[in-house]
Amino acid sequence: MTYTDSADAPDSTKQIADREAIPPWAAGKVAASSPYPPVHRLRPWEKTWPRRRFLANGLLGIGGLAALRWGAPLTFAVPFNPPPPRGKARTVIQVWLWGGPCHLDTFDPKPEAGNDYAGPFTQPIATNVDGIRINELLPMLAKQADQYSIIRGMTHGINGHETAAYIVQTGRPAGGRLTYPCIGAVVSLFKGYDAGYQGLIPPYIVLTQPQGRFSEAGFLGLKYKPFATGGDPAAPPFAVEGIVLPGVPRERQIRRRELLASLNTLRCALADDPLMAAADAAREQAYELILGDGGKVFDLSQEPDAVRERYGRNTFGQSCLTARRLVESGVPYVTINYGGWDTHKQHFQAMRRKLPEMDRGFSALLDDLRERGLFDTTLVWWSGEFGRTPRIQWEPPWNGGRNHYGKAFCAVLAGGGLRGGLVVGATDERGETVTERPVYPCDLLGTIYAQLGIDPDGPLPNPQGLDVRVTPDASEKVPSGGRLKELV
Amino acid sequence: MRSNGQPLRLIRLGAAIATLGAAGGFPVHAHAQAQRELNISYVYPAGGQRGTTLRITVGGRRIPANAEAVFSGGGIEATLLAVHQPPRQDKMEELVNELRELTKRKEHSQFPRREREGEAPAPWSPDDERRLQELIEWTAMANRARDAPPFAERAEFEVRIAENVPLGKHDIRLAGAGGVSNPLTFEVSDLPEITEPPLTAANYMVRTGETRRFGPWRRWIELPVSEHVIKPPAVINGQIGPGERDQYRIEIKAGQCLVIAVTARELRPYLADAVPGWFDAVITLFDEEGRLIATADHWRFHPDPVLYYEAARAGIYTLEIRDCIYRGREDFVYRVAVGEFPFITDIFPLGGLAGAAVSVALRGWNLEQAARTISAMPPPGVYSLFDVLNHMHASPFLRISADTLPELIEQKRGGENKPQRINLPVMVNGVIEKPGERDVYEFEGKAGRRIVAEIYARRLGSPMDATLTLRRSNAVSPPLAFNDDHEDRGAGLVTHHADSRIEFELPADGFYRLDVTDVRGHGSPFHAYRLRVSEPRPDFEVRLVPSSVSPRRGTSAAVTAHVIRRDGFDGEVHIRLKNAPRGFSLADARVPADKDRAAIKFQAARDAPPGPTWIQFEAVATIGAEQVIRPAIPAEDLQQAFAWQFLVPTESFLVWMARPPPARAAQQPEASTDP
Repeated sequence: MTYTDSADAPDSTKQIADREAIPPWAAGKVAASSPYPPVHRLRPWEKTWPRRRFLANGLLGIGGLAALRWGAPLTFAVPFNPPPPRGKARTVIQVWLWGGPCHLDTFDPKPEAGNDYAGPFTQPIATNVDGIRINELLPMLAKQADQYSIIRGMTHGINGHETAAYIVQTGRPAGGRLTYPCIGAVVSLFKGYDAGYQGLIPPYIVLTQPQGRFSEAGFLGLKYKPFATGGDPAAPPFAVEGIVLPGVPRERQIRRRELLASLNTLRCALADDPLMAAADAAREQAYELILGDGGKVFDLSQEPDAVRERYGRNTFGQSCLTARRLVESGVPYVTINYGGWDTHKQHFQAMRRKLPEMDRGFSALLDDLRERGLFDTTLVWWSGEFGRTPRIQWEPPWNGGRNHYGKAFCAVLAGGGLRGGLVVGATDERGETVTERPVYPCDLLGTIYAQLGIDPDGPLPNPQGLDVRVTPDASEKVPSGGRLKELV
Repeated sequence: MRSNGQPLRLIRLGAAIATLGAAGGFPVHAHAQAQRELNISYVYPAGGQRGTTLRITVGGRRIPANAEAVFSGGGIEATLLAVHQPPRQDKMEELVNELRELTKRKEHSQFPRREREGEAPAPWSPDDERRLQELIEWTAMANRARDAPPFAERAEFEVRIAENVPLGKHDIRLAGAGGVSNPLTFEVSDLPEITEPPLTAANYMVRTGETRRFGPWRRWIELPVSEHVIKPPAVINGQIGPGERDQYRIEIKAGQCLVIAVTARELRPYLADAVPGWFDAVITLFDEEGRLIATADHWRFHPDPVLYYEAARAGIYTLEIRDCIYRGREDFVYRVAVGEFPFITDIFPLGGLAGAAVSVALRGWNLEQAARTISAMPPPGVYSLFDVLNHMHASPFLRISADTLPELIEQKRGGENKPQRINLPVMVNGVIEKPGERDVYEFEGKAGRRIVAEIYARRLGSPMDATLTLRRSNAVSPPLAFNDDHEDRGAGLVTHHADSRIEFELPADGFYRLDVTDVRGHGSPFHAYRLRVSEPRPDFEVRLVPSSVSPRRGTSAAVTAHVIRRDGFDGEVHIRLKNAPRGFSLADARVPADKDRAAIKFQAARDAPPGPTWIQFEAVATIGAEQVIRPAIPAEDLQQAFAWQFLVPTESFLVWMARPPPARAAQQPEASTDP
C-alpha cells in the first residue's frame, strides 16, 4: 500500500506490539514484518460486540435482519486500520441501471445504422459540447454534457446478469477461487468505520433494494455489505428499514421507548455491568438514528417541493435526491439500484417511460451537487452490467426487444475531480464492436479508486490473509485497456 | 361465440369474409423477407387421435381473419371456426361499461339488497352468464395483449384426422393474408384422447393474481373444473397456467402395467424467453389415499418425464403434472399418454449397415417382442424409431443410425480393459455395462495416416456421456489425444453435446488403442454407443431456415442455407429444388467454400399456384471426384433461454402463395361486425 503522506506510513513493529487487539485465532498468522498498517485498537466492547451490532439489536424494526447483516465481528488475520485516503473525491454515488441499458438508446446513438438498429430513435440531440450527441429523450442531460464524460468503449464480453454485474462492480471475472468485494464494499473498507468514519448512517448504502445478483461484500464479510434502505423515497413517508416505521408517528416511538425503559428491569439490576453500558450506548445511538437528527437524512419532507419536483416525483428521482442528502452528510458510498432496464420485450415502450425519468433525476442530481459545492468531491458513475443488442430483435417473442450485450456498452462519469465534456472510446457504425480505446471494468473502477485516494494497485486486506490487490494485477491476466487518464 | 353487434372482431367461415383494412379486395400480405409477421406460439391440443374430429385453438400474433390451418403429411383437414382478437382500445370503454352493468345485475341477483323488504332478486339467465363470461374474457384479452403480444390472438379450427394419417409428428402452420406462420408440432396418435378446457386469458390472470387490474367482476371469473375419471389407455391434453398443478383421476386396475409418458418438450423444444428454456414437466402419481407413489421430472437426460407403474391395487389414482418451478402460460402445452402400450426404452445396437437386414434387441415395458428385424436399413443417416420400426411409443430422443462402414459388435473379454482388436474402417456397437467400465479397442496404424474416432451415443438417445482417449498400445503410453464433448450443430435438439470425437494423424507405424468410457463413471445395459473409426470422410449436411415462406408473385423470399461441414469438408455446396414444382425456382443457391451459411433466394413466378405447396430440396457438392447429393433439411433457428441458438429440423418446407380474392358478390349484410 502506498500513501500520499509519509507521516501515515505504517510502523510494522508497532502492529506486532498490539497483539491484544488481534483475534486469538489469528494471532499466530501475524508476520514479523507485515506490510499492513498499525492495528486498530478495539474498544473493550468491540472485541466481542462490534458497535454496529448494538445499533442493530433490540431496536424497533432494525433488530434481527440488520444484526445478521452487521453483526460479524472483525475477522481479518491482520486487523486493518487504513489512514484516511487523500483523493479529490470523498464520496461516490453509483447510478446502477439494473438489467443493462442499451448504449444506442442512451449515450452512443447510431441513427445512421437504420431502423434495425436505431428503431424509432432516429434524431439524437446535440449537447452543449460540440460533437457529442445523445438520445433525443435526454434533453436535460444534453445541456450538461460539459459536466460529465461518456465512456463509449466499455467492454467485457459477458452476457449473463450475475457474472456481468460481478465483473463490472468488482473488476474481476467470476469463477475464480475468491469472491471479490464490489467497489462499494471496498470503499466502505477504506473509508468506513475502520478508517475513522463516525456517522450513524452506515458507510455503504443501497437505495433501495439490493440487487441479489452477487455478493457485494465478497470475502470481506458481512460487515461490508451495504445497508439497503427498503421503502420508496417517493412515498410518504420513506419507510427506511429499521428507522422509519410506517404508521407509527414520532411521538408514539418516543412513548414506546419510555415504556421499554420502564420495563427493562435487567438493566436496573446490572447497571454497573460494562456490557450493559455498552448496550445502552448502542441503543442510544440507534434511537438517535430513529428519533434524532441522524435519521433525518431520509426525511425528504425537509426538502422544498420545488427541489423534489426538479428530481421527479418517482422512485428514481427521489432516490437521487436521497443520495445527494446522504453524501452531503458524509456517507462515502451510495448505490442507486435503478431497475427496469432488462428490456427483452417492449423495449421502446419502456425507453419512452424510463429515459425521461432518468434524464430528469440524473440531471437534477448533477445540478444539485454543483449548486451545493459537492460536485468536485462527489464522484458519480452511471452504468449497468452490460448494454443491449444493437440489432433489434423484431421477431417473436421479442417483437422489438433487445437482448444482453456485453461486447460494447457505455458508462458515464461525473464529478469527483474528473474532467467532463469528453468521450472516451468509440464503437463501430452499428454499436456492435468497440473500435477505439476499449475500457474494461477494472480500468473504470481503478480510476474511481484513484480519485478517492485508494491505491488501485495496493493490497486489499482480506480475512484469509491472501496477497490480493484492490484491482487485478498483471499476474491475474484480466484484460485491461488502462485507467482513464484522459479524464484525470 | 355469437356475433351480435359486439365490438369483438369475430369472423365465421361460410359468411362473407370481412375485408380487414384492405383497399378493396383480398389483402395480399406477401413477404420478400424471411421474417414473418404471422407467428403462432401454441396449438392446443397439440394432437389428436386419427379417425377423429376435434376442435383446436392456435394462439399467436397477426392472425388473419381468413386464416387457414395447413398440416404436413396429408390427411388432416381444418375448417376455421373463429378468430378472436383483443378488442380495440376505442371499444374498451363501451365493453367495460357493459361489464359493469352486468356485474351489478349479477350481484343483485345473487345478493339482493332489499331482500328484507321483500324485493325479488334481479333476474339472471344463462344467456346473461354467457355474455358476462364473454365480456370478462375480452377484457382479459386486452390486458394480455398489452403484456404478451405473442398470445394476444386465437384462432379456432375444427380438425378432421383421417384414419390412415401416419402416426407421429406433423407440422401445423397458419396461413392467409399476412403470409404463412412458423410451424408447430401436431402429434397424431392411435389412442383415445381427453382434452382439458383451454387456458383462457381470464384464467391466466386469475392464476397470476393479476385480477386486481379488473373491476368488481373479477369475483365472477369461471375457472373450469374437470370431474371425469380417465380410463387408460388415453392421451390427456392439457395446458399449464402459472402456478398450476393439473390433476387427473385415473381408474387403474390391479395388475396393470402402466406407462405414463409426457410429451411437452418434444412439442415445443425451445422457448426463447424462459429459463428453463422449455416447459419442464414434473409428474407425480398418488394413490387413492393421496400417498405419493412415484414422481419424475425427467427421463434419463430428457426433460419429458416417463413413469412405469405396476399396479398392485385397483383404484382411482391421481396423476399430477406441473412445471418444475411452477411456471405456466399459454404455450406450456403437454400431452400425457397413459396406458399399457408397448414402450421402448432402449435398443441395441443403435444402428446398422445401410441396406442390410439388422436384428435389433428391444428393451422396455409391455413389449411383445424382445427383438425386431429390420429387413433393410435405410440409407445412411439418423432416423426416429418410428421411421424405421414403425413404433410410436418410445423413449424420447431414441434414434437409430445407418452407415456404410462394416459393423462390429463389441465383445466383452471377461476382464476390464482388455483391448478388442478392430480393423479399420469400422463401426463398433458397444455398451458400457457397469460403472467405471472402460471399453478398449486396438488397431494397427501407419505413420502419417489420419484417423477419426467418433462416438454416437447421446445423439442417438443413449444416456452415455462419452470420453475417447487415443494412445499407443503400450502400458506406459501417455494419451495422444483426448476428447470429452464434441459439438454437433446438426443435432439441433441436443443441448449437452456429450459425444466425443478425435481426429489425429498417427505418428508412427504400430498399434494404437482407443479407450471409451463414461465421463461420470456411469454404466448400465442402457449405456450403448456406436464408435466409428476410419479415415476422415468429408461430408456435409444442410439446413434451410426458415421452413416456410410466402413471397409475392414475381418476387423472392430469403432462405438461409446452413452447411454443417464434417471431417474437413470445405467445398462449395449448391442447393436445388427436388422434383421442382411449377412456378418456383432458386437463385444464388450456393454456399461458397469455407463458408457455413449463405442467403439464397426462393423465387415465385407470376403464375405460381395459390395456396400451399410442399417443397423438397437437395444439396449437391463435389467431394473428391464424386458428386454427392444430400437432402437439404428444412429447419427453424430457435433460441433457448435468451442465449443459445439451435437449428431444429421440421417435418416439411412450405411455400404459401396468396389465394385470389373471391368474386365480388352482391351487397349482403355481414354476419359479423368489427369492433
